[in-house]
Amino acid sequence: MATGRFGVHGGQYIPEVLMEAVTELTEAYFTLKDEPGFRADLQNLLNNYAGRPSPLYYAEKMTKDLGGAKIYLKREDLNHTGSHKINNVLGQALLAKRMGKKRLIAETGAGQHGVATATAAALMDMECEILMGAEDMKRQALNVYRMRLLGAKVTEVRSGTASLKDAVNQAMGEWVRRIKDTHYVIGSVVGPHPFPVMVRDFQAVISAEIKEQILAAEGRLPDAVLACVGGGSNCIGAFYHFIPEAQVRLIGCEAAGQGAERYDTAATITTGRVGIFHGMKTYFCQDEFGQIAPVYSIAAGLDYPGVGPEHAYLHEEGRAEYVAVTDVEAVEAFEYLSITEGIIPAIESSHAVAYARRLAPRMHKDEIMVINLSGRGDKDCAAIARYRGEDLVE
Amino acid sequence: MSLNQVFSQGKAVIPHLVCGYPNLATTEKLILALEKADASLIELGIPFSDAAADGPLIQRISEEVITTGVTTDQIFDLVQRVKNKITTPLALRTYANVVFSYGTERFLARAAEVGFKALILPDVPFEEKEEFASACNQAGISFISFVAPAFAARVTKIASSAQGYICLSLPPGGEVDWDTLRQAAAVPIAVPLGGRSPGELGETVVQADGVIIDAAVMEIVAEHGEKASGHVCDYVQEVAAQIRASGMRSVV
Repeated sequence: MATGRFGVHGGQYIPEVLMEAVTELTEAYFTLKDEPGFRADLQNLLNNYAGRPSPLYYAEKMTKDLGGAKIYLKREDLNHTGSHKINNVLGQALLAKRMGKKRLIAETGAGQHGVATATAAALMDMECEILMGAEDMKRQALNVYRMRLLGAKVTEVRSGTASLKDAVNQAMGEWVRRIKDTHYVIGSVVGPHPFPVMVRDFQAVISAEIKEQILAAEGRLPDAVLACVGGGSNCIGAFYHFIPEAQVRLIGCEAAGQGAERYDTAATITTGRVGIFHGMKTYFCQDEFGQIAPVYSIAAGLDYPGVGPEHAYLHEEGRAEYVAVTDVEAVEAFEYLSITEGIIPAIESSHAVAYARRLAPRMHKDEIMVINLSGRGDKDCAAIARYRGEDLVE
Repeated sequence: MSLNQVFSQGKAVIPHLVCGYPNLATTEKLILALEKADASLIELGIPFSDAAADGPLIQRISEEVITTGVTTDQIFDLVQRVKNKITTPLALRTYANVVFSYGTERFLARAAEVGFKALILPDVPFEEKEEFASACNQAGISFISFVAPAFAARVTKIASSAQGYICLSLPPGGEVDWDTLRQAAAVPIAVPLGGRSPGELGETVVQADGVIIDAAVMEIVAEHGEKASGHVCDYVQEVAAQIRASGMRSVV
C-alpha cells in the first residue's frame, strides 16, 4: 500500500500517467523539507514578504459581548494576499523552483489560492496558469482581475458544476500534459500523497505561532481552537501543534450552505461518506452509487465535496469535532465581527466566527478560545451586499 | 470466451461504450451492433460524475447520463439481460469510487455474475491496486493495469505482474520501448486509438496486440443518438479490418 495514510484515509488514487510526477515531488519534498537552506529561504519569505508572524489578537469587545470564553483571533487575514493561502504557496513555489520547474498551475475556488499562486509566480519569475470554475469567476470577479494583474493566465472551467472540484479535475489533466516543466500547486490538504502532508506542514506555522503567542499572553494553552473547513488547510494548520495536547478542543466548522439536512450543503464530514476521489480516500458528499454530489455554500472557498484525509482521521479518532454552520449564520457572523471588532472576515472564516458565537457563551470566563481568521473579507463585500438585497456591482 | 482467447485470434479490437447514453435501450442495441461488427472485447463504461482520466467527450456524456438517473444497478441489469445474446466478452471500465461505494467485494461479485471478465479503473495505479485486485481475484475477474512507457523505472514492475492484458497510456508524440515492454509483460498489450483512424497511430498499431477504440465510438453515438447502431457497426467493421490488416507481429 502507498505511503501517506492517516488511518485508512489518504493514499495515491491517481492515473498511472501522474505517478512519476507525484513520486518525483514526494522525493523532492522529503529531501528538502528539513534542509537548512530551504528552511531559511522559506522563513525569510514568510517573515519579510508575507508579513509573518501574524498577530494573535485579543478580541475584547467580542469577548465581553458574548460573555463567556476569552476570545483570541489568529490574524491570517493580515498576511500578504489576504489569507493563509500564501503560507503553502511560498513553500510549494520554492520547492518547485528547486526542482527546476518553470511553470506553476493551480485550481482556485474563492480565488485566494489563485491570487497567492499568481503572486508567488510573479515573485519567482515563473509562468502561471490558474484554473477556475466559471461560476466562481462570476462570484469572485475581483480576484480574477488580481490574478491577471499579477501576470497569470486564468482559464475558465465549464465542466461539471463549474466550481472548485471541476477546477481540480482540469488542473490534474493540465499537469499530465506538461509534467516536465510544471508543478501543480494544490491549495489545500487534499489530493494524492504527498500533498495532504506537505500542505499541512507548510500551514502548521499557524499553530506553531499560536502556541508561542498564547503562552506569552496567557501562560497556558487554549481550551478550544476553531477554524473553518473546506478542504481543511487553514484548519489543519491551526490544529497541528495542538493535536498531541489532549486538553485543547479542536473544532472544524464546515459549510452547511442552506442546512446540513438539505441537499444544498458542503458539510462533508457531517453529511458525507467515505469514498475515493481526487487521489485520496476520505469523506465525500456523494450519492448512493458513489457519484460526487454537486455541493453548495455561499463561501466559494468551502464549496468542495471532500475534506482532507487527516481531518477524516481526526474525526474518526474523536480527536477533533466537526460542526456544520449555515450560510445565514456565516453572513450574520461576517457582519457581527465587522461591527464589533472592526475586522471584516472572509465569508469562509466567518463560519468559524459563527460557531464561536454559539460556543463562547457556554464556556467559562477563565477559558480561552482561539479562532483562526483565515482570510479577510474585502473580496466578499459585493456578494454579501447582493445577498442582503443591495444592488452593488464590483 | 476467455480473455486469453480474445488476443489469440489476431489483433484484438476493443470498442468502448458509455452505458446509458443516450439511454439504456440504445446501449443494448449498440452492444449487439458491436457483436455484429466482430469486436474482440467490448469495454462497457459505468459513468462517473468526474471522469477526469477521460477526454472531454466522455466526461460530458458521463455527466449527462448521471443526470438522467441511470444507476450502477440498472447497468448490471442491462448486462445480465444482454449477455445471453452475445459471445463477445465484456470488460468493465469505471472509476474507483463507483466500485468502492457499492462495496468492492459486492460490486465484483455482481460484475462476475453478469459476465464481466475484466475491471479497468483508470484512477487506481499499481501502488493502490491491491484493495481492488484481491477482490477481483476472488471473483475471477482480471484487474487490468495501465503502463505509461515514458516511466521506464515503473514499466517492469507493473508489466511483470499484470493480469489479463495491459492498457498502454501513450505519451503525446513519445516513443514506446517495445523491447523492454515485451520482456517484462507476460500478457498482451492494448493501445488506445486516440483518434478515429488506426493510421494515426502508425507503427504502434503494428506492435500492439489490440487497439481500444476509446472515444471514437461515442463520438458517433453523440452524433446519431438512438439511431447510432448501424453507423457504429459500419465504423467498427472498417477500423477492425484496418487494424487486423496491419498485423505484422505474431500473436502472443
